[in-house]
Amino acid sequence: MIRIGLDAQEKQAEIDQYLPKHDINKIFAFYPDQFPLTINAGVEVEHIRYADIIEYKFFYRLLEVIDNRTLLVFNECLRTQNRSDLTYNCAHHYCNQTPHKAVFEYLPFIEQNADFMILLDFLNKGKYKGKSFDYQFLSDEDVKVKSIDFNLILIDYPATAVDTKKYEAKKDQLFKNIGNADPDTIPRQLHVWVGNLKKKLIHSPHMCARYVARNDRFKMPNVATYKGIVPGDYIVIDFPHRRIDFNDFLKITSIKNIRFINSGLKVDLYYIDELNRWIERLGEFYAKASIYQ
Amino acid sequence: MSSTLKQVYINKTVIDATRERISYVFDEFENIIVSVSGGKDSTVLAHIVLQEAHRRGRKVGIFFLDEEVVYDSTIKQVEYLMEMYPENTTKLWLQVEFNLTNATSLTENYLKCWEKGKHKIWMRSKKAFAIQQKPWDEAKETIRNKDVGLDFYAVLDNFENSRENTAFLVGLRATESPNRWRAVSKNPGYKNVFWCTGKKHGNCAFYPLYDWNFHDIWKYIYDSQLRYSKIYDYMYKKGMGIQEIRVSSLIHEKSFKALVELPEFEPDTYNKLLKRVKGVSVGNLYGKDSKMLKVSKLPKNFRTWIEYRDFLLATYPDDEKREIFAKRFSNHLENRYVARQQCRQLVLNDIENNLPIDNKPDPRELTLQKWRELL
Repeated sequence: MIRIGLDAQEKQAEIDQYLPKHDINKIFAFYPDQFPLTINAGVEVEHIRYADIIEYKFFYRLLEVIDNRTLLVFNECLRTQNRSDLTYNCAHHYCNQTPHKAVFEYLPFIEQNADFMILLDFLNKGKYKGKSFDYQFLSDEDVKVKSIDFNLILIDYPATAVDTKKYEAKKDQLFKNIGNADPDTIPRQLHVWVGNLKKKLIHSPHMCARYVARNDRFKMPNVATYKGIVPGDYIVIDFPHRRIDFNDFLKITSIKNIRFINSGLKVDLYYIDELNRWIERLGEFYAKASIYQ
Repeated sequence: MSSTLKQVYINKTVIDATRERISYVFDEFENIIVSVSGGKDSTVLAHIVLQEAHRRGRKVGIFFLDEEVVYDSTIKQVEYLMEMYPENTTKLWLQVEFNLTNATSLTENYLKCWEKGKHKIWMRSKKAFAIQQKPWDEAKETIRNKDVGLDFYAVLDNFENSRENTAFLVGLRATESPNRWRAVSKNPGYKNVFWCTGKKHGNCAFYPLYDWNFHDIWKYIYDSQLRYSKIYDYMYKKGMGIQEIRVSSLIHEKSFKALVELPEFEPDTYNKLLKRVKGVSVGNLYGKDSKMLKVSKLPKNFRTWIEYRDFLLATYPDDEKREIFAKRFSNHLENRYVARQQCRQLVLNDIENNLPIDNKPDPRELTLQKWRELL
């Protein structure tokens, strides 16, 4: 089964429902460090870190013990868009040895619906190998999707004319000095530079919320980095450059309304546009999934 | 990639399928030779073939082309394979003089392995039972590249050509690289067999392990309790990635990185190699250095890869070989992307063009253009 959008209690409930209907005598639960899942069941449960899936000490041992009475639980294991990633390939070997697989993900994809094929591969690699995403697959398998509606709320904090001029100068400098560095570092650096302009707003006595920024450069108690966040509400100063880091942020905080300080400068508009497109893709997935599941 | 190259799972294990393939080769060919390198794949192949030979009471050749500068563990592994079923094995351990590319030295581009007159500094003595003279007619000897002379592949060609109606079994696997995938699956090389390449004089190269995955190989070794080169354990313990964990020669342009760990893994082999080949310490120190032999980062003295390439070309110590590079590069596009690859060829003495250049417009320029428009 694949279940999208569930919290820990709902995941446990799914397992509780599954166990009495099937002859299961052990469970292996795989999880990345950020998303541990403790399963309580009347059978033996071993929790294994996502990073350990490829380790020989686990790989061969698990191949020896996984059989058709084993339930494999993959909790938030969609960690890369590379469908042929080694970790996935190793996991498929485990999956091939049992019909019992439970795949839990908060979001159906990292970037686009093609990523959903990675989840289907866990269920049946042979069946989906080489195939592109099709909504029809959702009706072929036991898939349930609980949709999450995200909204992007902009807190306008327009850059001054002086800041805009400085922005243009900074941009020209980055292009000029790019040398042999990766060109994709230009928007990343520019976005962080623009984030610095927002510091005055964070200092404002009216703004006592918690913020999240790409790094720890602000050195302020109410500004966290994406690695240091805890459940709760945050205002985004700048976005991480990897989508999966932002997805992790959404998962951990359970934020639905994403509040972002918008300087109105082009680089911020680019990130806003990218996030809006992602939300749109997600919305389309939820809408179509509701027809097919 | 065309749909004919897709993997399709069937209800049969790769072991059973391979045993059937090998049985087919035994039915079709009187003469069978297994090429071994001392690596994991050829270990598995030799074992399955020797089991079949034993079952049928037949003999097969176990062929090892000894490059001299190899891990001691490789030698021990080949000895093990040749002693596994001695009554069914014809030992074909070839120790003849030929040229090996030396990627680690700009002054000694080639190592003549087993060079006559240098037996005192050979890595090891020759085996008494080894084939020590070229087993082919020297008048008919062929080479692939006149700039290089008799090299590893030319020796293989000549050895194969010295045989007739022989099946050469090779432990090549499709998943190792797209080129190998194509080689083992595109065209039938013998009758209707796709996992095969037709050769001269009725010879054929068969790839019975062509559909095995990395893990199939290790599972077979584990289940069959086979010995394997200790280098794999060293590399695994060192935390090297799957693509890096391989046993090959120690000095050519695709394997010199092994020199970085060699003193840790096999200190005696490293000591002997230092005396035997020029540039080994360079390979040891800089084999994985991004600004040196890896050629992935531009040294700070240069502003662009083009500038660095021009410097390397202008200061290349061998005039004759510089001309080979200059002529080759004159057919390439002039951009940083191509120039970086040209630098790699120059740094690693790739006269044979074994590290081919992806000759296309610089993708970086397109990305920069995109960001200029968006930001």
